[in-house]
Amino acid sequence: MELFSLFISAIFINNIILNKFLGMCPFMGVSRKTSSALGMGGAVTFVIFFSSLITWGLFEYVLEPLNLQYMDLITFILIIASFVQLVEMIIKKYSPSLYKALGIYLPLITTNCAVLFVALENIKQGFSFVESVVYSLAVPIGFTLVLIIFSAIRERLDIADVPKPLKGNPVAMIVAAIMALAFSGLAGLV
Amino acid sequence: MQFIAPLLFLGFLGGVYASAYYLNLKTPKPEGCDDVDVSCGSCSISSCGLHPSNKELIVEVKS
Amino acid sequence: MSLFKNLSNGLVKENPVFALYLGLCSVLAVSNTISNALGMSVAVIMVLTVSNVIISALRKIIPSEIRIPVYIVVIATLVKIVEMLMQAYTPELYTALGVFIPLIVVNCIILGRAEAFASKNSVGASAIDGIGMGLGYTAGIFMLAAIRQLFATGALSLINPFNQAVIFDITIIPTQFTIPLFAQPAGAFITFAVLAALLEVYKQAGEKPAKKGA
Repeated sequence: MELFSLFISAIFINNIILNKFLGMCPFMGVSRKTSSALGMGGAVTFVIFFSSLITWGLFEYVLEPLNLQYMDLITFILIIASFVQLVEMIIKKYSPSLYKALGIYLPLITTNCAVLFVALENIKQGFSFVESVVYSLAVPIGFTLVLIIFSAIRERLDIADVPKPLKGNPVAMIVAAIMALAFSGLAGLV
Repeated sequence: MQFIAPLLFLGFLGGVYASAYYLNLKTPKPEGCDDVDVSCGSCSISSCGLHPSNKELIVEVKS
Repeated sequence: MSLFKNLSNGLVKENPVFALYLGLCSVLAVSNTISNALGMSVAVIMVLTVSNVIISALRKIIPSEIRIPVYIVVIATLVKIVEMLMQAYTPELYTALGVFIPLIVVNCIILGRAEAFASKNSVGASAIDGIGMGLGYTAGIFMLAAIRQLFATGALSLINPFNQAVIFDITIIPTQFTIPLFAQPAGAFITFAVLAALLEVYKQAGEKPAKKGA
């Protein structure tokens, strides 16, 4: 049951965008249409899940035995970046439709705070393999959920009559504030 | 010895990343290309591969 | 571009936080107290300036195709060094900032400035640009933190990170009238939105007289 509560709390209570403020950069840029939000969410889920497992394995079986724990940051960011490049290359070669759906968001994910955060957090919290799997799956699902809700609201906001200084990103921030309030109401869930 | 191992490891990983990046740069996009997000225009993350400032680099590499 | 223009550019017109919306992750999360905000911004200024200098010094040698990988390696090494220094000399600040120190690596400001400025300009100009952008970041995060701490706890306090001595601790609003919302994520978002809108108003007020004159 601990795994289930880890799963739920990572999606709703400690939501990575609304509670931990990570992954904000694409949040502002990609969240204008619901279809692109879905594509971005799928790409982020894929990248975070597999790269976190790879970095976890690398930390457990390479860095720890060799006493090189201080290399974790550099190793993780390079592994994540290489993984994204390799995945993009494979998608470009073998599946143009998948590229159109997910692949165009891949370059943006390399410098996304969320990916590096999950990799580091798996180590910092000392998760076992199964806990890492659950956490690395739950965090991007929470990200995708918020992104989809946000893009649906933003589609309507773009045609609404917003005061001029607030147009664009500031009003998006206010929407995020209201969503953060709404999600914080779920805090007693686990 | 204490410095050599991490430096070699770093160099190896950097090499892997650089070669993956270069190979990816050389792979052409499939036919339905330039379907880029319109909203990318106002984004200022210039390290993103989709930023307009990186388009000339890709054209340079191809020609 | 004169040195002063370089500096002021990063402070107001191209303020990385409120105008370019870069590095939002750390700005919103770290701005709960002024001490945290200033500690974070010092780290960012150090990494930004040194990375700008190094990348500008190496700009003729790096092959243009793999410049992003090289930048990331340089920045990651610098951030790790800064993180280890902070862990050694300012442990309380290190625990308070937590995971956001390693996340300076993917802070869009540093990679963005390396790409947009340091790769094309001399070492001196890049250093000044790094300091300017860093000061813009500091100004942004400091304003956000000041407002948030003021309304959430009613007091403004600054603690010396090296020996935890209190530099000042002024209670401005009595505790019954504080608004704890500002300590929460929702308050951070709202404060940021208002400050960004204010900067927009300031920028447009600057443009209007110019338009009228032309």
